[in-house]
Amino acid sequence: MTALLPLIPILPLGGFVLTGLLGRRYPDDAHRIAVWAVVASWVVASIVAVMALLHASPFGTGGAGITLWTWIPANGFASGFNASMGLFVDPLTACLLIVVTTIGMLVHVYSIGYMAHDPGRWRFFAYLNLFMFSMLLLVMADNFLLVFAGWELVGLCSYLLIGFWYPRRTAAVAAKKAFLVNRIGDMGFALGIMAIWTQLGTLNMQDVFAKFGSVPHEWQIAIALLIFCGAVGKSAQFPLHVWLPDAMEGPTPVSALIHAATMVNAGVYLVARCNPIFGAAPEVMVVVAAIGIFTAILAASIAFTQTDIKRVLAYSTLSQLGYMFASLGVGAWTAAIFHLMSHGFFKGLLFLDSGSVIHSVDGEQDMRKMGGLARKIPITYATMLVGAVAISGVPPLAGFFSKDEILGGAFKNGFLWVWAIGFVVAGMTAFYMFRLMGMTFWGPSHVDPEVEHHIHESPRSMTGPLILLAIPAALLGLAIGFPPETGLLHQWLAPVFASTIAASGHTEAAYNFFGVDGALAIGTTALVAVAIVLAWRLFGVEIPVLGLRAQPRPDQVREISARRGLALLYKGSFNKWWFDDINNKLFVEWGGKLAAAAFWFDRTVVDGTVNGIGTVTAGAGGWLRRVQTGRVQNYALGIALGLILVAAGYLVIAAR
Amino acid sequence: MNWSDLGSLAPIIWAVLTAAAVLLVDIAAPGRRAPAIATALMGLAVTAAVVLSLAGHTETAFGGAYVVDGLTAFLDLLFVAIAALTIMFADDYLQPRGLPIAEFAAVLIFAITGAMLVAGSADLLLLFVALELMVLPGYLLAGYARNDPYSTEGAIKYFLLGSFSSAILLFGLAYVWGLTGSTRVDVVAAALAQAAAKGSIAPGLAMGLAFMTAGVAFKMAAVPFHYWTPDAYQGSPTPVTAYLSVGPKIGAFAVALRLFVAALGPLKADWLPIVIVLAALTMTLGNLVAITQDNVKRMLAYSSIAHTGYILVGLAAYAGGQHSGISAILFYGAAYTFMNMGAFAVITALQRRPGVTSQISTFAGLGRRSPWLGALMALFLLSLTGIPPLAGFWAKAYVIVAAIQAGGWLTALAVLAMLNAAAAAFYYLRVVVYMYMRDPAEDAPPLSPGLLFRVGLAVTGIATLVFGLFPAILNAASSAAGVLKG
Repeated sequence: MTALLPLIPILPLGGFVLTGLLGRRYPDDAHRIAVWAVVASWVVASIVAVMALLHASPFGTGGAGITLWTWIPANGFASGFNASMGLFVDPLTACLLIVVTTIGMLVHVYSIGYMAHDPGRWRFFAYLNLFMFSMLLLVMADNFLLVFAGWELVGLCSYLLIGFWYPRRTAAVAAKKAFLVNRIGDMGFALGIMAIWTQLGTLNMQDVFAKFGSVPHEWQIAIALLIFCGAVGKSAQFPLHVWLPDAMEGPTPVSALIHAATMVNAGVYLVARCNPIFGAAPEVMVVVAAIGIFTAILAASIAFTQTDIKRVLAYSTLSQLGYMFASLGVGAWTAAIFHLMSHGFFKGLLFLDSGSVIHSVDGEQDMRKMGGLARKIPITYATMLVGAVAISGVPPLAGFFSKDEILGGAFKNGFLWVWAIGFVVAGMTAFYMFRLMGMTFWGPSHVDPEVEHHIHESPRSMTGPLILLAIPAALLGLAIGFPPETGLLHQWLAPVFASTIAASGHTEAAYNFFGVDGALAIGTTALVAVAIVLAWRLFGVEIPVLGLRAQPRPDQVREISARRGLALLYKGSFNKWWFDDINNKLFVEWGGKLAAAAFWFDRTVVDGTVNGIGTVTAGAGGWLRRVQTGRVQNYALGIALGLILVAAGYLVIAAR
Repeated sequence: MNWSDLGSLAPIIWAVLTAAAVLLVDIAAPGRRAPAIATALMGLAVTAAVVLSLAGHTETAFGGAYVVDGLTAFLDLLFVAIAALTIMFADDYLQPRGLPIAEFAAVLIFAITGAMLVAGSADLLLLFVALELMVLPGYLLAGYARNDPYSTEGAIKYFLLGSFSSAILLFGLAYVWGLTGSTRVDVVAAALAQAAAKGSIAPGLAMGLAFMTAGVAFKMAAVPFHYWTPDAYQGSPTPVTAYLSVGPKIGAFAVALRLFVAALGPLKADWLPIVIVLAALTMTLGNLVAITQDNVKRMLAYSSIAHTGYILVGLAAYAGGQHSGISAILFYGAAYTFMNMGAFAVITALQRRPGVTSQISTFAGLGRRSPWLGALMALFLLSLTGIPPLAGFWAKAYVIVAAIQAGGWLTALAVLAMLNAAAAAFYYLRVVVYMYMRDPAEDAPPLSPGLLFRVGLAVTGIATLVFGLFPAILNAASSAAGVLKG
């Protein structure tokens, strides 16, 4: 069984190599290899994941792995530094495998239609395959070094794909920004790995977790913080969140796959995977919860006022990732993975829907130039409505269950402040999502008349994945999360987090329908309902089946946003709380000045010295050039001089 | 001498027979290229098989002058691989220029015979003779394009300076013989161990060390004994340059292992400072000059000087007390062989049409003209730069870490090596930029290397990748290194 594991990442790797090499020659057909490679990988991954989730042999409750070969043998370095090329699957990895390969496969299929007219389509598919390989390597690696390799590779793919349309300046700049911001986090992660090696002398994850208790507490805190630093960068948490909204410059399938459903989850996965490390450093857990919940409310507040459909979704992604970190921080481990999975499906769906919308209106992304699309692109509309209801947390769709577990976990584990902020964010989420729906699908059309008459539903290769993703977005919660906190997912993941939870003193108490849990769920649902109705009243709604019909009231929106007190909030939200401006001032302008100072120093002092040496050398060089005219005698003379110098050296040594 | 002595020499005998057979085939079918190449490659394959059949046990022959051990086997296999790859790449260059292949292959195999003899030398005199056997055919190869004045000029310079340095080396060996009364490596080592135990070395021995250091440094192309390298490398036909940049270099390091480590090991504290200085000078100067080159062949010539410097770091690490320095040298040699020969092979492919220069502009748009060649060249260049997880990364990592473990001045040397590796990225990656970011010339003809060439290129590419991902070669290197005492 474990012999199947290598196939999962190797199939897309082979797809990448073949597509990359043959693509230029067969630009119209090269994507087939890539798509089939991922489909095959999905089949294998599904088998493996189901076996692992059912705790079947050989995985059991603790997981099983395969060491392919010793990558860095211990005899290479005197310190014994070593690492194996090994893959490992346990229930946690299995959950990620399902998300990554399923959404990855659907995105590949979707891209056939989406990228149909792009001359660089083969290049796009080659990168997507490389991404799949890297992401699978990341989640399946059995040691930290290999995780890091996957970690960097997904970063590289993200860079390549954000900048896929590199002639467009904004895309190239966004790619660079994503890469640079990620470096900060990756540096921390790398330092964390080095710290692990120096403390424990092994990088194998299971060994590290088993021995982690023996590490001095200050080192436990340092390692947990450094690993979290990497997670903050990759999962775009405050203060490194600035790259993700700009990453929307990439093609929309990329936004769906990498920047919503999979890569940005890597940070959440890493923290969950390292639960014994974080469990040993409760101080860091509080930091994780604080950063997470702060990002959640910060990003949600920005999503309120954005007008670019993909940017709203991007800030929503930030906010939902914030939820996951908050959940990890409060010790609700399983809830975080639950939300990771449900979010992966509904956010992947929402992004693909937005791509379908953009496709239908000729590349327009500004929601102020949309409206009334519901009847023209019905499949896109229906599936996007499912996604919006799911993310808003309306029962019984996926988002309701996972969000409810997070808020319940925060409340019951004593993090009341996390719960309070999370509660507010739940309402905000519902509001901005239905604002998006209203502006895009309902109310009068603001589409450019030129574009208006050829709005069309997307081809079947695009709508097919939408429908297939809508199913888990709607039903995943019921399927694996019901009954709450004892559902299938909890049974699957229980062995992964059991010891950490036991050590932390928190209990995953039974869900109490007629007690605190039921009250919390009703409260959240009520807030969500109010937020949705508010959004309907402001931005319109049109669901004839339910008898809902309201016209948008733009003048009222304007009036509210200009109200005293609210105006400043509105401006702050609209300008993304000036983070880009602050960074620009701090790092680009002031940093630029520092660089200019360094440049001045370099030019006058360093270059001055070098030029001084240069003048001397040029003189010597003139003499040397005479030597180098090609006259062998002079070369021989040079050798003789060298010999004399060496001999002098030895005589000095001998005279010691 | 008895029959078992000949048994120990079997790989070398096979190689000589192969060279002779190639010449005979050429007489039987004059001017036919395929039979000669086939004979040479099959002969080399048999030679490799014979080496493998002898591997695993240690035996001495000719009264202890020649030794077959793990180190000999490792180096023999490397030399055979170098010869086979050179022959595979050479015909695509020689044929369009009307140069015969049979003599080329035969001379090359004779050179390899010398190198194999060096690998197993346990006697200073044999070491010297073997070294000469290795380099003399090299002079011939450098001047192989007889009608090309640059080739001839480079060959003459190489020959004259090479002879000069051989004389210097022999002079140094004579000192050692005079002071220890023996030319047997183990006897010399024992005598020197006694001398070293008394404290400082005698001035006569210091002079001997100086002559030997200079002689070996010349063969390695270490600064300041490198003057011959750029002229010889640029003038030679490109496949010969490929050979010269790895064959004699690794041969010279084989000399260093058998001479400096095995025989002069007891004096390592004395030659360590000189090696540190040589290594520092060599890598720094090689890289600095390489940065300024616009001709890729000349750039790789200087970069090969820089790589000599990195390998010397491994030697210094050994002298500093880290035995892992030796396996690092061997690993480096193997990794460098494949990645560097691969890079030269791509130049050969570009130069298949006579008249094409190796200017960097020739590489413009190679990634588009020929995706495979472009991708492989990028792979070789990234490996030469030292990007993980390719062969070149581990090669550098092992020497540098060995040096850091040795500590003291070697830490500074390791830092310098890292700085040099960073600087080297500039000129290697510049070629990648040309290959992928510049448009090819309008009239650039399609590239169509021969089948054998493609096979050779695949071998170098796979090796570059595999050495980085699988450690088998390192295990072989460290068991080979185990032969030499710390």
